[in-house]
Amino acid sequence: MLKQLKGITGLAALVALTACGGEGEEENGQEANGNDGQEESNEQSGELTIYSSGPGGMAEELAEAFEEESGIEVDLFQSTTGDVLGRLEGEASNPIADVVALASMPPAMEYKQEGLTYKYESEYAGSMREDWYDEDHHFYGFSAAALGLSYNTDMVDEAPADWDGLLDSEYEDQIAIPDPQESGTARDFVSAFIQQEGDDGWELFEDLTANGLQMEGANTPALESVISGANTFVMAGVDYMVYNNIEDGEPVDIAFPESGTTITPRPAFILESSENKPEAEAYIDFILSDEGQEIVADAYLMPGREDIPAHEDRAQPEDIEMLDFDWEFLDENGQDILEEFLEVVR
Amino acid sequence: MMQFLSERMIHRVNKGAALLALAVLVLFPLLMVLYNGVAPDGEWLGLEAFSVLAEDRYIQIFINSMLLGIGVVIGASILAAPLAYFMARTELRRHRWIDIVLIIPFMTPPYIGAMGWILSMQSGGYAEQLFPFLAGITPYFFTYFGMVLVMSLHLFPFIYLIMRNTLENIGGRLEEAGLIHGGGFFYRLRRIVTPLFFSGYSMGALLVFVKTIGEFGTLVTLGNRIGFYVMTSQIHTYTSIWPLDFGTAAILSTVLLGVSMTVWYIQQWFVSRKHTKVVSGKGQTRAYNPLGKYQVFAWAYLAGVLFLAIGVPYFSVASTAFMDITGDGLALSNLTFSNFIELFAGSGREALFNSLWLAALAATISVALGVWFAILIMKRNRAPEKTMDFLSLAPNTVPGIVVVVGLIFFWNAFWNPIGVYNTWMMLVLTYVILYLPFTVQNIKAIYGQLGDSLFQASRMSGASSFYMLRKILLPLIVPGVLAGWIMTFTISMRELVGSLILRPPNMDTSATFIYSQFEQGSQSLGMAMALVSVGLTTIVLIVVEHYKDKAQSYRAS
Repeated sequence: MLKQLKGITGLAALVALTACGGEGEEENGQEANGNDGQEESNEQSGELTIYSSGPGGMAEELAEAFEEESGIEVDLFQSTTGDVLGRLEGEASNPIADVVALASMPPAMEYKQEGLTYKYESEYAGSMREDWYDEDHHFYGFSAAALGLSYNTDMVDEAPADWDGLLDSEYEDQIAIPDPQESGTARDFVSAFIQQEGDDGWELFEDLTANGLQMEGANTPALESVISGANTFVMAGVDYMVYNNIEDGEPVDIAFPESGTTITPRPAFILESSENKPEAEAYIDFILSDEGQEIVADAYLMPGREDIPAHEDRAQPEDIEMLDFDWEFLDENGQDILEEFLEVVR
Repeated sequence: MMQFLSERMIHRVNKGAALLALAVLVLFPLLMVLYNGVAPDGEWLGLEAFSVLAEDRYIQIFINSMLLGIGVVIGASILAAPLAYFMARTELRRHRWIDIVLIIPFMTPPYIGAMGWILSMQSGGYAEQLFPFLAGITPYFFTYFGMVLVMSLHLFPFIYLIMRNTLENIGGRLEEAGLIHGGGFFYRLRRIVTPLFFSGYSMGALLVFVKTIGEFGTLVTLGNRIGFYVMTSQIHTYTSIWPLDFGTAAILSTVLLGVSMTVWYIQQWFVSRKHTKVVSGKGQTRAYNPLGKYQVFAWAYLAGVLFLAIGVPYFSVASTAFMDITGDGLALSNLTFSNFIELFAGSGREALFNSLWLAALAATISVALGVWFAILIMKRNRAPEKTMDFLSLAPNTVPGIVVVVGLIFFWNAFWNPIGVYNTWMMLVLTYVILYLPFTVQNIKAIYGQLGDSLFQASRMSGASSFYMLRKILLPLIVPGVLAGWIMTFTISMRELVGSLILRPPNMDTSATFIYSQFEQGSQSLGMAMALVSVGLTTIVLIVVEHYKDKAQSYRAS
């Protein structure tokens, strides 16, 4: 009897759990059926699930403005690129998202290669910046961030004109770089830099390490270490965060070195598995529209369309010197270069 | 005969149901991860998949993980042992508030604690701003010892709680017997207290070890910064940084799981050699060794620990939360409340509220399951019970991220008919699974100390099973249940990895709010949230502790 009762308590809990599950199941079942029916009659379900990486406010603002304009109900999962990718990978056998927006190019290219993306030619494709979107119209870099040399303005008046200026012994132990294992943009920068500079590039990294170059976690921790004065410089840090901090009154600024840097377009794409393609297409059009691009510009990111200027307080894309690199090279050699880089810097 | 048979049947069904529940909750998701490791893209690799482990760097990070685990167990034990003694045996035990204060380090999200220490210790950090002469010492923080220090300070409450409960339950009776027979203080310590003490302690040490090697926040925040890479940080890399490689992550997780299983087995063997039943229903006297005027040393020790565990990190957290411009450093003119106003005006309030009810619900379900499993596990010690025991511990042995990935694989599989995934229920389920080890072990720790004599006595007096359950078992395990509830609630409130990935769209918890502030927003706002969230958790704890004290009134003291 004693055991019996214990069993009942436990079972009750389990039943409660599965009961909750049961309800959810029904709802889901109905939804799925509904979708099937609607697809056949080519009607819109009025719902859209978006997985988006940051920056925080911008993703929400875009989703809200889109909801308001289109009347489509948006489910937004907003997190870091890594978490979005992790969730997508976990859901691979049963995808939930319709539209995905990331802060890094290589995954989008990989998704396209694997046939996971859906081709959609937006009316705005023609006015996009060259190389910021896929020529086959599978993904669109609707916004972009450049990597620069961020510095603490209380500690130095001006940043060196080029990367090798950091070799000055004055800056010993004052230089950080986001850990390329944690920051996809820093990883792309290192590869692109090596593609352009070759052995000279490795030499620079070695000399920088001798001058105290330190990996400081992802982008934000690296920048925080400069804001708080623990470091003077972050090399290859993303720019929009710096501009946000300037707006908040923090003593930071960013410079873009002469020998060039990377601009990382942030791709948005529709998943092939999406059951809400009309809504997804409408969303892609929206983020590329004037209104969507203005929201992008307000977040200090560079808009993907040529005819929409970036925020007036930040560097314009035309003024930033680019490294000579191509994404295919990065995709192929990224891992090897990363491993070699880690060996040099550690 | 019929009666007997049916009762056995029911017991079997009950045990089967418990095993099934654990399999669904823990085993299947983990198996899904392992399957993805040995058969990426549906192609069976088998043991070949494990061959990557022979690579030098994996051996190095494996060693790092082990070194860290051992270091933290030692560090946490050294911190906790004197406190447990003071609180169980001396004048300090009257001050129950100390218990709550001592749980605060554990309530602090590990990455916040690590962050607080980093902000204090980094070059130009708060420590140097306040005491410039510390500049020579602070660099030593960014080494292995710093990591052991931070993690020990985070995890010692665990060992402390278990140590103190065990010491209290050992009671004075056995010791008095030893005293009457002429045993000196050290003799009693060696022959009576230590052996009884170790069964509880070994469980605490096991949990801390396992928690350390599976820990992720501190290791990624501080470890990656100083180049101290461990298994979990490597797994984190494979699960969240392109190109993702769940396969290798799964293989590394399997190794962690293997280590935990081995340690667990050793602990089981160790405990089984000892007689540990100390609650027998005979008159309990509580051992009391007043310190008299030496109390001051106890208080000083307590103050020292609190300074390190709470003072340093929270000074940083609070400073940052009240700071207007981070770059201007500590100054009265730089003080602002705007972060708190923004927190409650914006989406922060909703995130906080979500965390509260999700955590409370998860803790309640977890405790119910915990009682069920713990009682079954403690009844016998055969294969099914051992399996259940290990399964209920397993979620704590692998990094949360691995459990989380397994949960997606399992609950979002196209063949899974239960539509929990992508709803808030998934979060509750995740918390329950992740923290089941805490409730089960807490209840086990108390239950394991109950002798059979009370049950035999009541049976002889003609009590029914139900009466025994109601009048003896439940009252005696209530403290363990409440302790389990508190722990589950506390950590669910700050759970990050699962919340981050498994939360349904449009939902934030306080931890994901803090994280996104750190990642993409304002560090000050994140720290403000951390303060408020820990404050709220503390209030809930005080309320529950109050009831726990009432429940323990059976201990005549």
